[in-house]
Amino acid sequence: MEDFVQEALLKIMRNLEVFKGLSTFTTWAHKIAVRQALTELRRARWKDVSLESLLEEPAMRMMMGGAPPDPANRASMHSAMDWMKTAMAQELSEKQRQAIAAVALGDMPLEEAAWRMGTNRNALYKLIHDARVRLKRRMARDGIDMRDMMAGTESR
Amino acid sequence: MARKTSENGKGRMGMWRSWMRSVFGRGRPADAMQEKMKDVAGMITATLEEEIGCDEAFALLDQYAEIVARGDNPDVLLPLVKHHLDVCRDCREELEALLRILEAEKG
Repeated sequence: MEDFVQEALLKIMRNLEVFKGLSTFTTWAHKIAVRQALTELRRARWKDVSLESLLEEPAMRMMMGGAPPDPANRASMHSAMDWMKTAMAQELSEKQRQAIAAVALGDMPLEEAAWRMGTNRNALYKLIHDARVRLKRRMARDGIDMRDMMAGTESR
Repeated sequence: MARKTSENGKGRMGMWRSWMRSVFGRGRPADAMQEKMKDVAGMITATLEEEIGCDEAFALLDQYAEIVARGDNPDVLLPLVKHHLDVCRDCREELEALLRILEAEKG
């Protein structure tokens, strides 16, 4: 607790010149303290979970592994989940698939996933954003209606 | 065993549930994982070509929190931050914590 307070105060002091007065000083300082506190709580909560173990779960393996169905064989893409798996395999890098699996499916906080992947939170957000853009474009190309997917029914 | 019945009760939804359970098994309720996939689908649908990242959202989070705390509409004033918070769970948690502090200060 003392460590957290000290670290939060240090960060506030170090960032004083960033404060532009667009909010009250206490709100700005609380924002930094909240970030510090939640970062430490997340670190403690996830300290025993490796990225590898998370990605080994069946759900993750399914999303990331295996040969995708033949894209020419539309009949094999009989469900929205098949589409998702295929699109992820064909449109995304392995790093992007790992990031989506860990953060979106595995609930790992961005900061924790970023630390394990040797990057930082902002860069990981951008990596996932790029993945979402690619999947959205693919969805448009394939004429996928996301409402079908959301409803858990078969796509066309 | 209502779940079993519905699984055998077939139709697309029964097959879907069965498939989700087989894929996402190991202690994760199929319904929960299905919800997660819906979240992912929703995130893809909501994706904008240009979005701000966590650093940019954090830089504006104090202003955003004060807008919300005084009852104004952040969608109008800081739409890109609003969109980021809709998509980013970590930043949303930080906003919620900050709002609780502001609320406590008011009270």
